[in-house]
Amino acid sequence: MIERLQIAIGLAIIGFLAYQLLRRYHIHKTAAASSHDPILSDLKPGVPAIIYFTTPGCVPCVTQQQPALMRLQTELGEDIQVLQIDASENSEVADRWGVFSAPTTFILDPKWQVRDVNYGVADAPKLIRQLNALRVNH
Amino acid sequence: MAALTLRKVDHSGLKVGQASTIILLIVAFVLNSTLLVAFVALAQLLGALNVPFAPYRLFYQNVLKPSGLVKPNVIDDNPEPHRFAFLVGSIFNGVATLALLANVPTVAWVLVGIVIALANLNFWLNICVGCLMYYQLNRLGVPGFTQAPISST
Repeated sequence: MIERLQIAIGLAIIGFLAYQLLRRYHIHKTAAASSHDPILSDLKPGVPAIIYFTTPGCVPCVTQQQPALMRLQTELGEDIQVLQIDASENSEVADRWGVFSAPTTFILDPKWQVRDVNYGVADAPKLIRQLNALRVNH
Repeated sequence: MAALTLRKVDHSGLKVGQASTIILLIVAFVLNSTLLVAFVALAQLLGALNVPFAPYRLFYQNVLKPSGLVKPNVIDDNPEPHRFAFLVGSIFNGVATLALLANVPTVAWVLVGIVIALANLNFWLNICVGCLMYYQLNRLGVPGFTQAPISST
């Protein structure tokens, strides 16, 4: 039984570390190119942004992610800008940003460097925490 | 196929089902318990059938919700894809139970591992692979898969 417990704990740790490594690698990779990406040309400079990748068939995007982003925009007003991208219509952009599922949200600082990424639904409090962390780090 | 009327789904109840599945299956692996894998398969099957005495539902409705440990998170959604996801998990765990009874433990624990991985994906990242399968089958026009993805308009 102890052996099986060790295997279970080991696998859980490996899974957690693999996820964290993947996430950090993804942030690092996209951060290098994000500030020059043409999709950001319509954004206002000097304002943090959320790049929100969705697809027409993504149910949690409609039921959870969009309401969370709307709530965020209501609360933060001009202090945040959200760019919504249909990953199925803009597959090249999605590939460039390493998007493999919807919803995916990227948190960009005022210089449009990627600072965080959320795979799956990120609720409004989580997004606010991530945006607040940008202020702390700057 | 056209979507029918959108209903409310308590996603906290779904999260409880996913968390219970993960914990029980890990315990089943540690204890090498065929009975516990069979119980999870049955609990998921009853959840898929949406019966009022489904164990996860009873645990959420009668213990976690009244105690305030888990707050309801009711949103517009189709319940069918989530039930289908439960059914897929139930089939995997059902086959794993049979494999354990047939003394083929490697196959059994690989299947259980897949269910644990998918439940984690759903619990932590809200990526419901069973739901994606359901909507794909709906697009293909497979009978019984009547609910189309929700439109944003």
